[in-house]
Amino acid sequence: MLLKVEKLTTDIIGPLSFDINDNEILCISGPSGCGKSMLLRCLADLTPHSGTIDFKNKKLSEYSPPVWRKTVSLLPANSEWWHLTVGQHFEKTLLTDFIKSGLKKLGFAESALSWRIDQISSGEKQRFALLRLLQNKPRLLLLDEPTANLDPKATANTEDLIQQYQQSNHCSIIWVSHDQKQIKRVAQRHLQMHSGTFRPAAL
Amino acid sequence: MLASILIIALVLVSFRLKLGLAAQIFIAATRTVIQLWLIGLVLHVLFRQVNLLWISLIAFVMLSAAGREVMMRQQHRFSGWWGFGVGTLAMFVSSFSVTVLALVFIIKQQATPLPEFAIPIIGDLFPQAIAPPWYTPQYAIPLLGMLLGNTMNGIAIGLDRLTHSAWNQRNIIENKLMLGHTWSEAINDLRRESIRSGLIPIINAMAAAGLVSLPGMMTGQLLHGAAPMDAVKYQILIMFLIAGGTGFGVYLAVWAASRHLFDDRQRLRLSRLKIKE
Repeated sequence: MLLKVEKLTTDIIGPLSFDINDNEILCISGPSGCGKSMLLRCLADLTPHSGTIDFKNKKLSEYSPPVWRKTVSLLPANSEWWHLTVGQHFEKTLLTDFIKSGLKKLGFAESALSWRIDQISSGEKQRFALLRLLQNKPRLLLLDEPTANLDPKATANTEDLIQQYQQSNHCSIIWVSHDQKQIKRVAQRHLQMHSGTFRPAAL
Repeated sequence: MLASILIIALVLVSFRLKLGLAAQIFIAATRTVIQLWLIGLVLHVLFRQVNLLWISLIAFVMLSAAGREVMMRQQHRFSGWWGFGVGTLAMFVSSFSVTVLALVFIIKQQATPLPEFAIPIIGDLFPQAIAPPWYTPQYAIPLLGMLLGNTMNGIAIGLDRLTHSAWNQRNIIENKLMLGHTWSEAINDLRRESIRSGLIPIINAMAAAGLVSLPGMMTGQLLHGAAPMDAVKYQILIMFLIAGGTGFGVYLAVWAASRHLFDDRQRLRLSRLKIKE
């Protein structure tokens, strides 16, 4: 078992107990404001919470926060960019085949790295943000509606990239999505969230 | 007294132009008169008795007033004790240490005053040894005042900038945390900008000193008939002391405040700020 969550509680969600297996993709859906994003924030240890979160049988508190967040990595619904160009947000030393092939799979040329942040669309930002996060080689990906701003073709490319990453790196994914068809395409398990708690849902 | 005609004229002008500042100018001017008059009285009494306890008390009152001023000037300040404490502690460490250093090593007063009985014996052999003690109020209080006043400005600007930009850029800070940056890396840009903006007033003052305006202390000395080179010498000393005190004070305050924006799990905790609209 990769991740074990017990009685995870904040003022909005919980108590939630569940676990994630190796190589598993769990989809979570539910109405806006039901606490999906809050759950992901707790799992990335960005919001104070009670209850226990274990990763590979070790407690959350045994990991240093940066190491935890590089291992259990959150892709937020809206990404932030602080340098002038896209490429400056990627580690130069890591500008590897992985990034190059990632750009290609997402439908970008390598020159996209020189694009200016103020001139790219929200859909482009969303795809670059995914690539930026995958550089850390996370073991558990927390995706908050990763294809919300994308057209069908870009959505398909992004899903492919995520699934390829998942298979070649043996990682697991918690994937928040509103799209029933997408859930059917990618999920092995589906939970529905309702005012802070889970109920099982059909695939 | 003649100078007060200027203030009355200013009040009348602001009244005519409907600037809405008449009352504020009047109150501020009245406060200047009363506060300075009172501190004159206090200093008058204080300068006559060289007593460490009294001087400490006055210094403490000055520090608290400066700490309160720093707190009030921040739009989003820390709630609870931190709101007052972070600026006050930084001012205490920087202003007090620079003042004491200046008194002991530069104005060269006695670090440890001789006991009474020893003065006649040693004083004959080493006249310098019976210099007044370092806390002689005539030097200590104005120096501390000048340092506190300037450090206060720098720290207030630095802290306000830090908390303000942390609030505005909270999403960027958190996105950096998500990518595995440490708390320090995530806030480093803001911290640097905040320290810089806290230091700009004193850097500008040093750069413009003498060219644009004569600094206040020097003007006072010259008006009182001091030799220009003497006035210059002391003004340079004061400027450097202020720059040092402000620099370290701002650095300390901004660093401590930036740390307190995060908890022990390096989570951004803006709930520790009182956010004002």
